[in-house]
Amino acid sequence: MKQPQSQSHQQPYQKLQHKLAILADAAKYDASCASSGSIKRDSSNGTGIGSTSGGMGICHSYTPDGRCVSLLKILLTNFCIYDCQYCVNRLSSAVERARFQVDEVIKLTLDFYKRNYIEGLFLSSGIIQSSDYTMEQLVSVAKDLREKHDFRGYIHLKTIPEASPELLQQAGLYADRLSINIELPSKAALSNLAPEKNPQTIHQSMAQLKEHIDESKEYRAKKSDIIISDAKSRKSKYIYSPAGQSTQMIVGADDSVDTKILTLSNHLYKRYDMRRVYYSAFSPIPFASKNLPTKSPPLMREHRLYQADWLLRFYGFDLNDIHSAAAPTHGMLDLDIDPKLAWALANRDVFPINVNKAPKELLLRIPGVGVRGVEKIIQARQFKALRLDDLKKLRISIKKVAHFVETADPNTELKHLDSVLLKQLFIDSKTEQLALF
Amino acid sequence: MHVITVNASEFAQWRNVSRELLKRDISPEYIVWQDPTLTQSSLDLFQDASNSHERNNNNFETDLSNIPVTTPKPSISAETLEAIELASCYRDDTRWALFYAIVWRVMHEDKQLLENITDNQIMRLNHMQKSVGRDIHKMHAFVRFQKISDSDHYVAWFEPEHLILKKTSSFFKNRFKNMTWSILTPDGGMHWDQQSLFYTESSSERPVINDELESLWLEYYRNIFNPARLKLKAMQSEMPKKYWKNLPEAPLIKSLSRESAARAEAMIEKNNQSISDKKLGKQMASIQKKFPTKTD
Ligand code: SF4
Repeated sequence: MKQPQSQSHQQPYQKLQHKLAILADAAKYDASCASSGSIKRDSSNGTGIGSTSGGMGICHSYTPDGRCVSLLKILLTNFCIYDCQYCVNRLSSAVERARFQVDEVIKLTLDFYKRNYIEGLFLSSGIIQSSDYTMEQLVSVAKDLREKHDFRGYIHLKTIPEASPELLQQAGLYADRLSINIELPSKAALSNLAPEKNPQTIHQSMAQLKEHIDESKEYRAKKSDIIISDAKSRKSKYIYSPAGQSTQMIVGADDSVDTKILTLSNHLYKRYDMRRVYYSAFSPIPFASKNLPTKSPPLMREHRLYQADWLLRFYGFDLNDIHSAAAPTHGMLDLDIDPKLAWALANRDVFPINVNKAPKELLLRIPGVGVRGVEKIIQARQFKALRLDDLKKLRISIKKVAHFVETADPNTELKHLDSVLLKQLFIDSKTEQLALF
Repeated sequence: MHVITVNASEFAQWRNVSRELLKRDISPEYIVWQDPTLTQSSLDLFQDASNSHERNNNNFETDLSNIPVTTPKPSISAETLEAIELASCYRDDTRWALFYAIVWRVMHEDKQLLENITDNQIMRLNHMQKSVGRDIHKMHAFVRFQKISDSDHYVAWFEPEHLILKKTSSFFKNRFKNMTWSILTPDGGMHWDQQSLFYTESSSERPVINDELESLWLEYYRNIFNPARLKLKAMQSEMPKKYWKNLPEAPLIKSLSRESAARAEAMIEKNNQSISDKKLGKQMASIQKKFPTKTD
């Protein structure tokens, strides 16, 4: 394997460390660090290093903010000619600037990977010179990692929506995942806070990525039917961003309500097959624009949005259900209780749900029972009529579900189901409803 | 019937022993299972070393030859054996008896027993599998290689909770195929020389290696953390303290958490320091000078 030049002198090493500090700091506002959802691959027949697990990614560490460290998440440079108000790297920010050379990023990635610190690289960049020039640089890092070093770990490239279609086309040949940030929940907010960004271009580029991703999926499905014997045609297999695309939305920098945010997410999932929409609670940044809030990031709101997002994707909820859950709180998700419980309280006529008879769709509506819990109920009830005690054995919290379910034994908690005080009961018990995750 | 004493310290051994027992329809309550590796120290108290060595090589303390074979071909589904194989990595010397009780019940009571997830023994089995699976996943994540200077040998020290070393071999081998590495643990060492995998006896302590690249990793860890979002509990549920002692970045957690409030405040304070229009023009000019446009 070819090694990029080694940094043996003390001076450049310290310089590199300083650059890393600046360019990691600049990347920390990106919520995503996932290394999941790609195809399974390893180095058993390669000349380099690296593998991907296929389904679940691996978190190699966690920072004190509870976030997973899976990828080396850095910017190529934090110089930027744009002036997005919410961004620490914008032109008018007085933050210290730095720029990595392509080879420095490659070496860092390989060095970190060999020590098992990371699953791969998540590279993005401020825009220098032009969108195309910047995108070319990003692509060349990924290309060299793959072609010169036969690196088979995970690569996530943040894509610049204004870059040419040819560059977007290339990026996916080397990356496992691509992402284009939608940035803000409304067009008005975008033109207000990021005047150089064009919502139409963002959507067009997402559509282009989707097209390539779909093509490649189709191609691979067909190819797997034919046995490919010679190495050359196997190499020409068309793999484009196998872990799909994702996006990020900043929450709390403008005044969009949660139902509006989730309506947009729903659209992004349906229209572009997004693997994930990340919500990023607007965090105070140094050198921020005066148009922005300076309070601590609305972390609970962000958490509730993720919970509601989960309901849309895995629990059979639709936008009407989200509206119904958020109606008592005027389009915002209730911060005191999770959205599934809020929905249940607003739709009590659906309950109690009989755990021994209800179909899967209904079981998924029980507050405090996750998807896995539902599967376990369905499995366990084949053997006997379930009692409250059996739910406990399935690691379902009785405290959370008792008000909403019928079991084989008498359940006295059901008497509260119609009480106006039921919500208060949950708030008082201070049980943080993290069951959805 | 008399009590029968048998030994097992590995899945394959347990399987062989169990097969002989099932052939003779010996019910679980007549069997005492011993795990020579996990109870070594207590055995040594009563036996001299040579004797205990003999015990390791002999699966049966009790002679089975005069008990007649009644079920010549006992059969257990592949899924059941797979579940038990994974659970057998659980570090607990009562596990062999549990596994035998389960296969006994699968044969005599209920072929679908494993599906019955509210059954106490199955709950225990599932808990063991889950715990082992999690430990394997955490080992994939938290092993940290250090490069020995002036060589291309990468060495890691790890202390798994369960007996999972061999279960992680394919992950490391396929990921770091073109690297020479060793993972040392209290249960034994696993080594890869880019061609073959081999195991060595247990090592008792972590080697002292100074890998200067580690300082870059620490720098990264320090800076990728957003002090405005401190959530220590969430972090600890994913990265429990028991792993901290072998993670180079863990010593930073305390100071990063302590400083976070002040750092977050400083971030807000700097809010009001946006640069003036005049400076803005200069900044733009400087970026354009640094990265001149090729075309116009
Ligand atoms: S283009 Fe990207 S890096 Fe530049 S200011 Fe906008 S968000 Fe920040």
